[in-house]
Amino acid sequence: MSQLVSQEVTRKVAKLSRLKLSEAEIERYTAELGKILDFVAELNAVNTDGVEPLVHGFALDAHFREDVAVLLPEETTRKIVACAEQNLYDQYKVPQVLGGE
Amino acid sequence: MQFPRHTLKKAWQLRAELASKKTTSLALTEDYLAKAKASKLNSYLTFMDAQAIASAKNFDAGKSSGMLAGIPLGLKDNLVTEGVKTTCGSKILANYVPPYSGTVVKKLEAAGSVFIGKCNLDEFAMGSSNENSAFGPVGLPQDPTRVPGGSSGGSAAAVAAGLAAWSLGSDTGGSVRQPASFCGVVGLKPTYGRVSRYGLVAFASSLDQIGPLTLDAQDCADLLEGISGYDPLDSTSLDRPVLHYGKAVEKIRTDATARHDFVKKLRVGVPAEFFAAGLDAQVQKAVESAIDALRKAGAEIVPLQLPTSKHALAVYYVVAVSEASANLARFDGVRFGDRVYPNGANSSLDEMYEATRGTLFGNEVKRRILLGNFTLSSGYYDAYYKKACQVRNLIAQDFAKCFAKVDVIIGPTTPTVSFERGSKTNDPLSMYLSDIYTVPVNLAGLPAVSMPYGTGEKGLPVGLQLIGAPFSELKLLESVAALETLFDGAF
Repeated sequence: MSQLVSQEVTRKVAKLSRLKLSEAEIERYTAELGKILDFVAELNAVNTDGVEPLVHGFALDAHFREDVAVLLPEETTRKIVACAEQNLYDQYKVPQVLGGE
Repeated sequence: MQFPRHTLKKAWQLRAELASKKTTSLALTEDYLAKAKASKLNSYLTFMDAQAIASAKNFDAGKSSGMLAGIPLGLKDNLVTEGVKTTCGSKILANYVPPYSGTVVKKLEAAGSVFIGKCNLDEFAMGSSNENSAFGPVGLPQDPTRVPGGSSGGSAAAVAAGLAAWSLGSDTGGSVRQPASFCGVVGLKPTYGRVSRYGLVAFASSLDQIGPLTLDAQDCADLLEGISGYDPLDSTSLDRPVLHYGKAVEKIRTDATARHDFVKKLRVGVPAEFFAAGLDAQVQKAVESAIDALRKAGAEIVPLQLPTSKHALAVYYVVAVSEASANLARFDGVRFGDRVYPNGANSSLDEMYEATRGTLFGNEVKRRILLGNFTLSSGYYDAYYKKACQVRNLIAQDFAKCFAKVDVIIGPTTPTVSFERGSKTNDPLSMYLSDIYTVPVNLAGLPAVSMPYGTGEKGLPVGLQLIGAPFSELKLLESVAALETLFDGAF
């Protein structure tokens, strides 16, 4: 069993992941993550001295669009914002973030 | 067990029937819709009746034409469709109706394709059995107590069961090829960048590609031709010419001289690592019979080594989860999808995020997000993510060396035939092993195709995988077409 993942680590990662987990889930994922990381540890045996990390497929002549702001038609904005469960005045409505106690 | 391609009509046959007025698109569409709705396989999550009937009528009125026009198709439910629910097999998007369609969907619409509906999948395309769908598993058409594979299980089962003439799936680590193998259909993962990902809900962006699931090589070639091409809306789309895949395959399929010449010039690589421990004996036998058939037909068989490929699964489960944890951060309950307020109106923003994601994501998705945030976290990034990307480079280099010597690499698509539902759900690692031969391909960005070739345990289909160099889809599909005639004894 991996020494890397304790319940404390799982709780910390769950917080970073914005995932609310039950105690049973914490226990379960701690065990499963440990097993998977033990499996992944086989990579340590591979000699990668001087090997560049490959972060994408075989070729990436990535192309970028011009970085200019485009004003969308009001109707498009409305359509996009309408996907939210709660919206108001064509904006997303969320619980209060600032102020309070 | 007979292959479906012997009993079901392929899209190219339907096209001929439409051209000769033997049938109408409306009649076909109503027939496929009725069969799909009566099916108990659970291969569809949403039916698109109104749109399908309208597209069919358009075709019958002469308003659309071409290779894809008038023919019923299934779309994996992680391809966004304007005005039609797109769930990704997740509760978090159970009610999500996208405000736009992806590039591939628009291309198909413009080509007159008839959409039967949205096909079931593992939640956010994470899984190898379709058991991770929030809306229930899909049955294998040949034996519904078994799994159709995943994550494009609904798309593959729909084609194998005749509930769509053809369909689209997406492949991140084998999600088109593995279900194609289990269901006995043809499934292709194109070269990374061949097909636009705009409007494909992202799982692991450096690995994802949309691919066709069809009854044979001809249909696969025709559908690939229809969805390929450069797209300025996808920054990783590559600007290479779209070849006439369909015409090339038709020649191999219909012209015996061209077929013989093609196979005689074909150099076929057989990597020792794809025939190692864990491979089912009957699967191995079927794959070896394909290699024998190619040898007898004059192909050159070249033994190869892919020494780093044995680490591909470990690399994949670091790279894919790392990318997934970032991609799935957008599902926060704010901009789309449902929300959960744990403390009613008193819930804070963070509490809403955590409860929404904690409640509405399924097990496999949560496991991968946790793992990805762990491997990317400070102190572990170099040991996991960077190390995995370095080994990924070695895997890609292994393949590049092989393609200096051969045209295609051949092997099994999966170590076993379809397994029983529930047999691997409690052991993530044993489930992951199902993708051991498919993940190296995604890591290297290569094209690969699975085709049915023979049967294994209980007469279930065995999938043969052919892997090619970047942008060699044409040669792969010609090879599949040649192997189809070899298998049928019609070579």
